[in-house]
Amino acid sequence: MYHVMLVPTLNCPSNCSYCWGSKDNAGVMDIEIIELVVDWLKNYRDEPVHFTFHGGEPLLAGYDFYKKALPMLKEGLEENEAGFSLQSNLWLLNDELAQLLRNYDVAVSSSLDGPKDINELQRGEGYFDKTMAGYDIARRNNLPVNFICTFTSYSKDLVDEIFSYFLECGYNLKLHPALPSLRGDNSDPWALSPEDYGELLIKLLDMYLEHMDEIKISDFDHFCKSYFIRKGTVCVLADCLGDTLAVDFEGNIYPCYRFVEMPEYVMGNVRDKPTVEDLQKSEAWKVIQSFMDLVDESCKKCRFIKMCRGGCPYNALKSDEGHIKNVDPQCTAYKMIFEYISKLATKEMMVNMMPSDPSLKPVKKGGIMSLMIK
Amino acid sequence: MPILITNIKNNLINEAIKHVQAEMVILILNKELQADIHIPHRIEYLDALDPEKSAQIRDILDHALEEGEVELALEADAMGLQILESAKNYEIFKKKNILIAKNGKLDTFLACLC
Repeated sequence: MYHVMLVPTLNCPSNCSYCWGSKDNAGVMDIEIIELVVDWLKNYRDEPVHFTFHGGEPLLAGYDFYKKALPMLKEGLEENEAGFSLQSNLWLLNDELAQLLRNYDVAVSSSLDGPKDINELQRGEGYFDKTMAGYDIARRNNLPVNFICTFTSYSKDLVDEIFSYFLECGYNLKLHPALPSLRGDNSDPWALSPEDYGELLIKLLDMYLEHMDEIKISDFDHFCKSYFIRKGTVCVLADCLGDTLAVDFEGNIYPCYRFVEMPEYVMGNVRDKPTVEDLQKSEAWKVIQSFMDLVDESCKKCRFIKMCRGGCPYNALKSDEGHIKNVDPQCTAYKMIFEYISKLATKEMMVNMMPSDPSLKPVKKGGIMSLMIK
Repeated sequence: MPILITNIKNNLINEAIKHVQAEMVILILNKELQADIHIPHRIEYLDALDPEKSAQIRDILDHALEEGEVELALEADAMGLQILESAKNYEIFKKKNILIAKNGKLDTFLACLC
């Protein structure tokens, strides 16, 4: 399966303190671009494709856009079994849109950084109430929503409060560390250091293992699965080149949504129906390829290389101001969590081997091993 | 004939082979794992584990026990735990040394699989 992120616009009505993914007065995708995407992908790769509508705020494209785009992609790429996700703050969700998204099994994610006071501080006044209003609309239309919780240099110290909030509300979540951006420095003060992110992951994994029947934190399911099958199961833990693409409002193609509207990372345009070989000739492809080559060499002695593949090339580019000189700085965090998973797995094995050993405390049912096969 | 049953996926597997002087090795891996392990031995791929799949592991153990003396060298993951759980069904594995890949080296443990 490959993944195409459709970015209808970089405009966004919210004003989150650490956001680097939006832009004022940005253009908005016309339905013609979706027609061109279908024409392009029909002969691009003979395998399933998953689309994520991202932004900015993708719902700014409007109901009429999605009413046309979803059937166009679903039916036009029927042989590729097109599936859909959408990442939105939900402010513009209404009953009509919610029903449309539900009818096309669109997996909706929204951002929520914890209880209202933490949200207001990090995402701006009014964010929480508007997103919750959208969430209520989604619920009454049976449209499932998962939340992405961004942890910052500020909120990392409030992890107990944030976890309790999600647990009490019964919300599943995905974790996101605030990260520096190639587009500007507004996110820098909020960025989470790799060491802090690693510690946060370890603490949250312990909390998750205590409450696995009550909440789902998909990141840990992925970390444990990746550890078990020796292969990253999400983009930041895998060789993403060619398997993840993004398309902007003008039809320009990028290696990922994080590069959208950065001209130096344009790989082609949907109007030209580029083949994989065409995209491989672009400078952006070569840059990401150089990251993979660097990982092969730099990480060859790391026992976790297959599980994380050096992390995200965008983060690596940011850390060296647009050049590939090192792997993703979050490597530190990934090593910390994989080491910890390894330690917990060994402990579970030993408890099973020597149940009467008093130095080994019993492991709760449904431990780290169960996450590996979830 | 010493037979090694293992799920170890790194170069510690060679150390385990040498340790038990295995003449036959059965490496049990998850089907999703694209292994690039190159050993001239049998590799069994199993689906993501569930209670029914433990029957497959027991079949492997049954056949191996008919052919020789079976030793276990396990890595701590879901497959290792499943092999261990299956081994508990056999008297022969109770109070038997088992090799465990731990912190990048092999350790021998006297397991109490009761």
